[in-house]
Amino acid sequence: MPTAPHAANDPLTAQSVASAVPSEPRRTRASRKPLAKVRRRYRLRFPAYIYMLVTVFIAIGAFNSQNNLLFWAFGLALAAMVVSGVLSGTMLMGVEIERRALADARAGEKLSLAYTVRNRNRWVPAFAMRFEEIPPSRAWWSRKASHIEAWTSYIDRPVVFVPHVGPREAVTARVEVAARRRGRVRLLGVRLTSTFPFGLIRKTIEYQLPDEMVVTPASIPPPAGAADILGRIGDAAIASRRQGPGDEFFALREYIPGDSPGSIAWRASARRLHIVPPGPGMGLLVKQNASPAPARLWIVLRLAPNKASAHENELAISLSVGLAARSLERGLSVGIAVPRAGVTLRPMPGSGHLHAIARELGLLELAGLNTHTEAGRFPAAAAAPGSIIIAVHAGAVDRTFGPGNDRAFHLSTAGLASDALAQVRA
Amino acid sequence: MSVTARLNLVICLTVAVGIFAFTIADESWGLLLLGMAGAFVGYIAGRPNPLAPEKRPWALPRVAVNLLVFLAIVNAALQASVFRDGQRPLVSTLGAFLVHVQLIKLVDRRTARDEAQLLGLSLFGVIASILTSNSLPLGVALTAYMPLIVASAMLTEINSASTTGVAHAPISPRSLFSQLRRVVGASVLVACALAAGVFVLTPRGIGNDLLGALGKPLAPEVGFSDNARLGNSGFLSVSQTPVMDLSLFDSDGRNAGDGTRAVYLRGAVRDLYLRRGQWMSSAEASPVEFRIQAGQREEVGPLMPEAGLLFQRITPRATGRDGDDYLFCAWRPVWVEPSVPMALRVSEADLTLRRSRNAGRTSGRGTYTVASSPADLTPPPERGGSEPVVSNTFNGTRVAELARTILAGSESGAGGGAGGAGGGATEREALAESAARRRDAMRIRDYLQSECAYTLEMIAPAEGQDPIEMFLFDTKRGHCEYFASAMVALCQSAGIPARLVLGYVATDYSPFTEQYTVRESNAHAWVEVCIGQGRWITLDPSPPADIERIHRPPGGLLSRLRSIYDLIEFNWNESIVGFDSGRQRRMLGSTRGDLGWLGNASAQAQEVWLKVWRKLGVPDDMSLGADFFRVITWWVALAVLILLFVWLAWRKRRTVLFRRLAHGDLDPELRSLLAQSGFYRGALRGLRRAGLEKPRSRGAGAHADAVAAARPEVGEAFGRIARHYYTLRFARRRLSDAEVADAWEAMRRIRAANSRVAAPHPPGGGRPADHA
Repeated sequence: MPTAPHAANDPLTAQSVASAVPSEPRRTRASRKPLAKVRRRYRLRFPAYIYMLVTVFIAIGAFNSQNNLLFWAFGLALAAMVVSGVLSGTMLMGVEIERRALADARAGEKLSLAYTVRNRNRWVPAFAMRFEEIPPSRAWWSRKASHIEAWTSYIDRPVVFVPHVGPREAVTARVEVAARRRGRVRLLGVRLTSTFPFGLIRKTIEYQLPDEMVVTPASIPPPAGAADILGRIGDAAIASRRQGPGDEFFALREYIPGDSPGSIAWRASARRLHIVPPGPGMGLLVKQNASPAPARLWIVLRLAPNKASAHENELAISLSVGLAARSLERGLSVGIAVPRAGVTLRPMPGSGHLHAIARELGLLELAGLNTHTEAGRFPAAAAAPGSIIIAVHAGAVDRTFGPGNDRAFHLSTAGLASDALAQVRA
Repeated sequence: MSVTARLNLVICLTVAVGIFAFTIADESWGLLLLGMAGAFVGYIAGRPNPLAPEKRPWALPRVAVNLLVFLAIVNAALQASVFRDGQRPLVSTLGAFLVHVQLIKLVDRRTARDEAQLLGLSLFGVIASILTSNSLPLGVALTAYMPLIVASAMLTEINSASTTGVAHAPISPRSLFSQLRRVVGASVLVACALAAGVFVLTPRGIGNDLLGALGKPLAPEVGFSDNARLGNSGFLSVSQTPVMDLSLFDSDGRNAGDGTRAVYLRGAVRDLYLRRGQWMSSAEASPVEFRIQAGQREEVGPLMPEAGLLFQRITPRATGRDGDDYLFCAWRPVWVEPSVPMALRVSEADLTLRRSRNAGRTSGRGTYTVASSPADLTPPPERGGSEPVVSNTFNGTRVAELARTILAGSESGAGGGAGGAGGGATEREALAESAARRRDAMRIRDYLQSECAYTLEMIAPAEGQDPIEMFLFDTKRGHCEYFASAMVALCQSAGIPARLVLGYVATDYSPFTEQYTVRESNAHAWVEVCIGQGRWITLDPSPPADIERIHRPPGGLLSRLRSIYDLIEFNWNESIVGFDSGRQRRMLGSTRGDLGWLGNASAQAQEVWLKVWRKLGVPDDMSLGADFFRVITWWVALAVLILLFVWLAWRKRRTVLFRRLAHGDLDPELRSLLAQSGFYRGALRGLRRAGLEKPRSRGAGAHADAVAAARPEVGEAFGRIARHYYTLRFARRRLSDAEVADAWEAMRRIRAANSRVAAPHPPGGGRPADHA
């Protein structure tokens, strides 16, 4: 769809052109998602009272004076109210809303939400609609919702305005809100508000649309000392090798039909034929190459179970994320363990694993930490041989926390100044 | 064009048209120029900056805005409070104030709320224009205003969040404007249709004048006045403002008007001269009052046979300056039939007709029909015979002497008897006397026409000088009132009863509307002379050539355009401005009608209603009560029809008919395939009648299996139908003839099976026997 030539900077057309969806085939009931609960409300605004008062005055004047133009004006005033109600009701009856988060956000950064508004009406376009999230205190469909921690403590209120959706069209509006702290954000529903066409009546439709998203912790870059540690780990010899697409020889194995002829080890196969009579595989052997296995790094997070250490705990979590990110960048396999929270993620390489680590750390409930002494012990999984361990201590370092060998390094949040956590609320 | 730019344009247009409507109604041309210039400046100032479209356009500083508003308030207060001749009515002052505030607000738009306030002010200004005038140009302006205000309101809502920092969904302005135009158009059409219904069905005549002049438009004051303006200086008005529309027809109902015929419409009559240019009527002290119902005929003059009468239907557009409105008609009025209830004051001596406001509530001006007997064709009146009083005001004056001079040598002679019909004179003598009087009056008329010149200039006499004497002896020029007054004075001096008649002369005839348009400039004065036995004749002493020049409408292209405009304006006045209870009655018809038992029931209900109406203490106005009943009946009938339609639509929403309508969103190919599926719909109907209705959540095949458990033959048949339906619906294959025949046969089997009474279950269980 073309845009107006001078509308490039117009806020209403600043983003890409409307993602109008061609009219969709009629879906059967079975293919539709279960319809969300919907509540409709109508409220007269202050101009409506003025309008009604003026209409009454016009009627009085008309009957008193028998001025026919005043009768016309009275008729038009009544008709406008009828048209306003019918038009807005018809318009909103066919509106459906879908919401999705474009990506998990990080605390202190922006969370992108996309709202897709679909107009099912065949002829009536929809105008001037405002969408916003419903806080738990207003979730009328469930009393339990009021016990859910409000999403407003995690993110700013998303509000989006949709000026126009044509009949049988859909429009997607994107909004970015600040994610203030990490955690599980439970969105409950969306409220649609419109005062179209004349601003007299505010129509509100509330859709029950539960959804969850995670705000991952802010990432604090590791201090210089930790960076050195990571550098040494990275420069160290390859901890091990494993079969992979490398150039080095790893091992021989039996030929399996389908193997590439170029991978057959002819000499070894010839020598073998002298020893082993030919069989189904003709006694052929195939070379396997090796690729270096990345070093395994365990980040063990030692959190303090008392509430007073909440800020230190958050620092520790954010530092862990920063460590993990830096380590994964260097090609290490990173695993994470939080003993008091029962969280263990095996070391794995790749940026995708960072997302998993961040998500797990984002979902950590500090209020649910196990305060038992036994729960604070160093996890055995992290003590497996061949792994490097970095223990991140919330607060002062406890040198006894570790595997008891020289493979463990200790980082403390004590004295760590971080601007990145300025928005984190304990 | 962005939404903000379009909104600016539409709002400025709306305000401009609203200001135009008010200034047209108020005839404030200076304000019109100021308004148009202000609207243009507002448009320029309100254009969004293409480099920073998210910012609000330029606005006046707050200090300047407040100062301008203060000045506007002061100006309005001064205009409203200062008393002077031609004091501006309050509505005009308020309307002008609203115009000023709108112009200020146009350059003070900072938020969406300001734009909404501007639209509200514009609406109030339009209401003020309706309270000022009901003219055709105002109607045209209001017609243009309606879609603009609707579009402005909608665009304001769409643009309301543009600068509040809220995230927006992307739009396509072209698509938005295109669809918005359709929505605006549909909204205006629907609103006009609803408003037309309210307009037609709102009862008229109820509550009239309860709150004084509230809501009454300012009717223009007309050139006609029941006081002759002798002795004033200045010029007579030549305003072309229409004051009434006149239709002429004869007793057979044929149009009697044409462009060559001038009709004298008498209004006020004066026969007593008080000197110094003041006339009064001797008949004012003894009027007779009537209350006439709408459509009722009231005789005001002597009974006359209808043949030979001239009928006038008059639609007034304006009122006179005086408290009572005159009913105009040609001489002599026989009966009056108004279209609205009316309180009428009739002066039996001079047969002037006035609509009285002091006699109680009236229901508006409205059209009225008068039957008149043309002068000189009337037989002697049955209750006439007595001679009118002849004033002796001019006895012994130069006027009397002049009269004698003019009539010297006439058979009756100067100072001829005031009587002639009384005391033993035979009929032959009476006729001779009448003829003599007629000749004398004409001689006086001829003298004036030959000796005096016509002018529109009003000349004030010298101190102490009588205006008539000034006219006859000094200036020998004047306007029609001077000519008429002089003739009356000369006649009365000669003993001939005469009276001054003030009214209009209708000359502007339109062949399109077959009507005369009487304008302010057609106000005229002439004379009625009594020639004996109560018979009065009409004589116009003003020079015919001057009358022709002044009152005859101009020709040429302008005249034709004028005629077309008059035609449109006539229809505007007839259908909108002049819509009254009579017209409403004709549109809605009688509730008795030819509706058989319904009509009788309605008539009985109306009788009951009228009894209640009277018991409530409402003034005994039967036509008003009947009108109210008729309107209520229509409202009830409409409400019943709407409710019935809604109920039927709700009941029938599940039927195949509505499903078929719902299939409209399928692609055309599928729709044409499903046209073959009549057997499926028939089968569903059959199942429903048998109590085996298919739930919407269950497919046809699944339902066939479910039915087969209880009714195997029905289930088997419906299963075949389901297969054929699926072929159409999902395989998208047209059925062969054999398949169609099989499907219809299966449907008939279902119906046949349902028509048989199901055998009861045998004791101990078991399925009923399957009757083939």
